[in-house]
Amino acid sequence: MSLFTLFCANKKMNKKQVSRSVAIPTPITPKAKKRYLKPLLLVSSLLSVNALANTTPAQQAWQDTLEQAKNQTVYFNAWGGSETINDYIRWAAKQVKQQHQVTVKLVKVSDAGNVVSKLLAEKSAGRTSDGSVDLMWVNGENFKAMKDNGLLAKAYTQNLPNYTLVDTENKPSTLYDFTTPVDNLEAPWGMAQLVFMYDADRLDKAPTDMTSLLGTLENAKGRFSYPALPNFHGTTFVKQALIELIEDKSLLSKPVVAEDFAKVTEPLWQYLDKLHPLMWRSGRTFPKNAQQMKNLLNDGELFISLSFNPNDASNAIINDELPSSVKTYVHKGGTLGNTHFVAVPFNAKAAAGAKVFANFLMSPQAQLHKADPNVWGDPTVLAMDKLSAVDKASFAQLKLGPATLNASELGKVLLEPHSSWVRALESAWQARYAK
Amino acid sequence: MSVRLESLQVSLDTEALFPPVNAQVEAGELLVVMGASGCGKSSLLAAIAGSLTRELTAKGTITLAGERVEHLPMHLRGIGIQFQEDLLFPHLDVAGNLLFGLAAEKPTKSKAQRLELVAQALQSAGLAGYEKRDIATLSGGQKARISLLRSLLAKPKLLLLDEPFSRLDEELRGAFRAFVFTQIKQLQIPAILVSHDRQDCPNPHFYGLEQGRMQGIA
Amino acid sequence: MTYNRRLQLIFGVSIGLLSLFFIVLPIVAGLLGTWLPALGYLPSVGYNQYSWQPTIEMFNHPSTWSSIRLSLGSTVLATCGAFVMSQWLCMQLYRSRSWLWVKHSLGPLLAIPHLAFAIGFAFVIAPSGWLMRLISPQLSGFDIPPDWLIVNDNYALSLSVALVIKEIPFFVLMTLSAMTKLNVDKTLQVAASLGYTHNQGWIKLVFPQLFSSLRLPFYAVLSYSLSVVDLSIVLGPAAPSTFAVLINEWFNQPDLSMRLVGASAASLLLLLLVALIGLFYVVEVLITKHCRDWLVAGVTAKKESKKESEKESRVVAKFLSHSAILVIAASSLLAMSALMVWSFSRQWRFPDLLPTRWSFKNWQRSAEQLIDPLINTALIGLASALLALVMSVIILQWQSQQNKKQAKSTHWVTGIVYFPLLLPQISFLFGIQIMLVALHLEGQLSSMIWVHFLFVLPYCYLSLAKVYLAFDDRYLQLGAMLSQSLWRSFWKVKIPMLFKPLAFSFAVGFAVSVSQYLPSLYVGAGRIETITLESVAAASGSDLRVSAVFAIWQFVLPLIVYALAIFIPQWCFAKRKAMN
Repeated sequence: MSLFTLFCANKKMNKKQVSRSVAIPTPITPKAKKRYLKPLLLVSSLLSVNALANTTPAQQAWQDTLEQAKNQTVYFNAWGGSETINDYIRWAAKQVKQQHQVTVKLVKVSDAGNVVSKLLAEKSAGRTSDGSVDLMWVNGENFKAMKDNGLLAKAYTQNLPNYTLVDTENKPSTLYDFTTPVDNLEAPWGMAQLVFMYDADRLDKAPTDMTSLLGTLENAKGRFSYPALPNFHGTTFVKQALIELIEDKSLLSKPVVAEDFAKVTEPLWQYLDKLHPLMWRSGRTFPKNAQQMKNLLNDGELFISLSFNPNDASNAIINDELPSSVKTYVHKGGTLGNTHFVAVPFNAKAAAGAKVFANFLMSPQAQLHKADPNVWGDPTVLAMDKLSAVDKASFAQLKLGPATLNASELGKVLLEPHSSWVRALESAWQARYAK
Repeated sequence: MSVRLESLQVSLDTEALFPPVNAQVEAGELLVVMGASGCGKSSLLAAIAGSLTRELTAKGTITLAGERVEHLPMHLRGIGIQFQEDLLFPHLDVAGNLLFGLAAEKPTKSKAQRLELVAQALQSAGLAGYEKRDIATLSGGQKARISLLRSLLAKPKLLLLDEPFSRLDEELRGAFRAFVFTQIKQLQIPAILVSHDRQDCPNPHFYGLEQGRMQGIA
Repeated sequence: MTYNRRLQLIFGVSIGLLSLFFIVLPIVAGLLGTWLPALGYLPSVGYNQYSWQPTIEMFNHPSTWSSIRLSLGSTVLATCGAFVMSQWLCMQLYRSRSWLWVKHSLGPLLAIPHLAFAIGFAFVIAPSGWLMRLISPQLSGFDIPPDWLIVNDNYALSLSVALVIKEIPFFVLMTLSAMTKLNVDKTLQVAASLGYTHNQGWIKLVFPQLFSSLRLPFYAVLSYSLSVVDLSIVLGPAAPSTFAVLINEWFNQPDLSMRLVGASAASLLLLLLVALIGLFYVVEVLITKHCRDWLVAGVTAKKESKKESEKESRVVAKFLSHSAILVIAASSLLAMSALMVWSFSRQWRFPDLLPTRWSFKNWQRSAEQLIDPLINTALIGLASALLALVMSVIILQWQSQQNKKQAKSTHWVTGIVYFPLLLPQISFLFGIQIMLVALHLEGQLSSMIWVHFLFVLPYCYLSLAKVYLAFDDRYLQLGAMLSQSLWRSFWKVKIPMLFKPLAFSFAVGFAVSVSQYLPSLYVGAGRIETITLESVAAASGSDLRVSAVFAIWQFVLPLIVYALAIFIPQWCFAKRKAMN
């Protein structure tokens, strides 16, 4: 098959998409060709040849960005607690180095809040350019804080060629990050959904909702817990419980009304008061984070754990972090889901490079690699119907991990409550259980 | 080469420790300064050497080989001092200790020449072939002699001796005393010795520090 | 003015200027940069008005009071526990056969970073930990780990125990260095000749002399225990956590107004420390007052029968002290071995005593990733330790030339040097960060070396001061007269004679630098990776296999330097008996 026919075939198949994603300008070096013979890459390489022929102003702007990005060093600040994820980021860094001569350095942080702190300090000091962070992994409250305090660069994702492939229609959380409008300030990177993991060797049947969790624990006392708030996973568990237990669910999409808060959350506290005595260490202490819960699940201290990545269990089984008896389950009414993003701070030094990297992270190539349970197993943000047939097929061919649920089993994705609920729930929780 | 002290006095705050010292010592001569312990004998030597601790102040003049030295820092006065303890450098061997004093005096001499000087000095002290010995393996008498050799090899214009014999036992003391006195004579340098032991004085007269004048041995 | 005095003046002025620009001013700026936000002033986030709002909010937070209670409790328990134990051990073991062994094990024990120890220790004592695996399932009957609350207990006991184990070697080291100043043997002989027992002689004569040198290390441990974050995260309680952890959480909350609350809590932490130190000072004064009579009460006549029982109690004390040493050494050894095994494990589940599947992958991976952090850590550690050592020598040389009356007037320098040690790190690093950012100095190797120098200097000074000031300066004088050069005498006589303590102090400084977490985090701007930053990042993910590799590296670096610091002087002076 000649390259030319492949190119033509592709053009015929999806004309619209070709004109949109023309701007991936991969220089075709012999070395790169040799190394990446995947059709996917060849397609995108050829597309860049096409780009030289007729350029629109948007394409030209992107060309300029690529030009600027050359030889820049991008400091990508990301939570560094998972070697699986770190490995993936290093892989992605290698790709953009080869394709665009952009060097990406991973700065591992223990908490995205640290990065917000750092940016804040830079802003306090009047550093409006030359900042130390070029791109950061962020979502939810941290994003809201950055947006509210002007710590983000101007809206940029609309200019990224690959942004057009994002499934904004069916994945509303790519547009509303914990109900905060994204406004093109951050680029969607991956999808997350709350799932539970249980050890089938030690527990016959997985619970199906919050109430049946109580019943399960009656027979397996002390074998479940969740991280203490304000840990992200802990907060999510409490929010999930609230969604399942609150009478008027419509309240959750609106800001908290302080006067009614105690009354409407009463079922939640009643539930937790019943749950805690049945939990690990009788609820007198809590795991530090979801990762530690994974260790505890491995050792049998816990029978049930939770995660925000539906592929987490599979990935851990492949890594020998968890036994193969671990399975994934969700609650029957659905579980909370959201999107995680990458954002460019207001004072990024290598903003162009950061955008090029952000664009690469949304590319079919990067998203496909990321979704592979042997790599990371993080669900894609892209819309299958917007992809080329080849890419679509590649995604379809991805094998589900040993403990991964398929799309229908994963069930309904529940939207995050309005972000004001987080603070309110946290302080109410702390007043009750961390006094 | 001679040394002259004029109205030399050491005081703590404003109080003088002893009456002003006036004395002259010629080359090859030994001036013995006597006094009870605590009367300021060591302070007198420190004042001459330039190593007084900061609470003490010295007044008066010190003329060494025709040159006033009281304003000079101690390392430029060209004075050697010998304490009760040998104070040999424990991190150097015998030759190292001796070469240390020799180094500044004759920087142009070749290494072989300097080692030859050290060997001669050791021979003169009856310690031939001791160059490579570790200080810690020497006897008290050997240490004392090497310590003195070290001071002398630096060719001081004046040698100060701060009760150098008091730490040695009776037998060694006599021998070492004789060794010191011969060396001073041979090298023709002036020396000042402080002591509270009259046996340390080979001369018929000594300087009584508390009295502020020369006295005869009764 | 004499030559000496001029020299002293130059010394004094340069030390003053150096410490003003590199220690005092930055710290003052750091404190102000924390206090102003504490009072509601942080213009970059739109807070332009001074108010008590952050303070009120802090006190209204449900966890604040119990968190403070926890922190104070564990701090006092850990510090007093470690102090009393260390003094008791010194008293019991001094001149015993194990004394030399105790002295030699100090280096490795001190080289174990707190965080590495905590990670390993938690695994050893947890219900699913190594000790339990040793007896499971056969002896204990547990197929799954029991649901017992040991690590992260609500009273911070496991945290306190770990702190006690970690701080005892530090106190012993400080006691050793204080002992060089006085003649313990002779003192004990005199006491014995007057009819005192070994213990009485120690408590009545030796300890009171030692204490003045131990006061500062005591306060330093107090400050460290009160403000430690990484250790508390691993071993401390979770709901609520200790106050320092809570503050760190507030500083990192997405809601930026919480930084003001964090700043005000950080300021409160400083006040708490001041109060604690004040309290202990008062206690000391009261004890001294009340014990004066007891000290000079003389020997109480002993009946024969009583002497017998005393002999017995001495045997018991010997046994107990040896057990205590054994517990410290064994827990450290177990913790580090646990990390070692984890680093080679692939699959390891309860109740398996050893992994069921092994792997080199964790190490292979670290080999690629850790080169940069290792080089950075080594570079920063060597540079900051060297600078701190040079600064310590300059200060000590100056102080050694002062007479007794003037020595008092040099206390300001000691105060400045110890300042960063006594100040909780979290109480001024936020401000330091703002300052460095303003000067465009954050994320630079030089700033990193400087901020490490700040925390390394007190330890270098502390471990060197006693020996340096005890040096008989007549050697220096003699050397100067003989060689006609002060400089030459200093380099060829004083420095070589003090080589051993200098090298040790350097190693202490290096180890301190390697273990710095918060300063590296706040000043490195994420651009300078160090092994400790990587360790904490890995620990926050808690994949023990990876954390273990990082933690071992964090331990190996200082260990190498400690070993060199011991062996190089020994090798240099192999033939010089008096030097060993």
